[in-house]
Amino acid sequence: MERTGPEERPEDFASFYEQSRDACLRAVYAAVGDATQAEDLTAEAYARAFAAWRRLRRHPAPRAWVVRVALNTGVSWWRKRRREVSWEPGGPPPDLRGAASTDGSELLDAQIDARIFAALRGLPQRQREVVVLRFFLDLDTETTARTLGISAGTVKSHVSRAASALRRALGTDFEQESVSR
Amino acid sequence: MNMRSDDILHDTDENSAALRGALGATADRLRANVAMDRPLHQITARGRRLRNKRRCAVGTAGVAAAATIALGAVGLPGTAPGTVPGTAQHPTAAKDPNVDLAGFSLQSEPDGTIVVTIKQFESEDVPALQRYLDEAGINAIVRTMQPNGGVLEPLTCPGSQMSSQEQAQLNKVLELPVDSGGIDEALALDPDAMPAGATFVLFVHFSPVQLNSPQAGPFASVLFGLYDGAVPDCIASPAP
Repeated sequence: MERTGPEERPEDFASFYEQSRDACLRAVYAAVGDATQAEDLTAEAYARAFAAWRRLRRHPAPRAWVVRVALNTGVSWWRKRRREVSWEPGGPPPDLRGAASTDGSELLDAQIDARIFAALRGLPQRQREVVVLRFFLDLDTETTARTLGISAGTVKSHVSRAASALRRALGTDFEQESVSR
Repeated sequence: MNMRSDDILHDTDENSAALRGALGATADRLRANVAMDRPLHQITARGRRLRNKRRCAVGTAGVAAAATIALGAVGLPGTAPGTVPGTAQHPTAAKDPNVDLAGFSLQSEPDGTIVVTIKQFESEDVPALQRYLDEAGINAIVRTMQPNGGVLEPLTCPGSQMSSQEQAQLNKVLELPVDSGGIDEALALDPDAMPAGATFVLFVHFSPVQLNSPQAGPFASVLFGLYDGAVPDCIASPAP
């Protein structure tokens, strides 16, 4: 009987996990804005990747696959637990509320990050996926398009609309962050 | 590839540059401060469980179908002859939770969890699913939310907020959705993790899109809750 699963070459998955886990977690974190939830979702996505590794190892962008699965899981999670997700729009997400320090710049950074995370959460799902894959996982337009099963033009359209939406949501923060880079 | 004119309406590098600029500092801070600490062995252990569960599901599907056929031949005890399985049936007092109806299915796993799959679920399936869950050891309240029926109301009514302890308990009872490979919603419940006296609440939410588009699936979402004690009236006995 043909063996299935990653036991054939466990070092493959271990190596993939080692090399990609931080980047994937950051991308998921940016989308959900909650460290604990992001790690849970990312871990679940990696577990599914392990279960499907024989097929996934030939995927052109397995990192993107992990992030997408995590975000799709996150959509379900959020829908099913929407009561649990509550913070004031524009306010810091729960796990950053304790981030205040004596260093004013750190506090300011945490507040800006929180506003950005909240604004990202306000985007439609597909726009958020595009933004996360393009700008937090650093995928190019073509790879993002292939991962999501859409055209490169549609990716660019989502980027355009996301830019407009984030500009509206973030106001001067958007322009200041853009200029400061 | 066909591309709608709308798709390329704002196809400029300026948008990408602006977004990269606006998000760049946050991305840099994430790189500096966020790292995945979950050990590899935890990931692979969970992955093996998922894979084994998938194999078990495939292996027992035939058995469940055969059992359904056998029950159909003799008639379900307590059920009027000739009734169509899948909607509005009240289950018998059988303790075996395995059932495969048109509206939903329950399947017991070797590890003791119960995999519930919501399929072509209708309001008439509510009492049957509730009783099957009860018999599987999960004290449950099942509700549906229709379009224009105040989707958020049951989740925001007074007293509906779960405590952090209840949320944590829900995480133990409810596993993340099992990949059913289709538009059905499958989830795994652990009856042993249910605290004595606790109630598991399940809402099936229908939306106009889902009702009018079979391709979109028969329902919009399924929402869960757990109350360790009295269930708020607005959930236990919602206003008509």
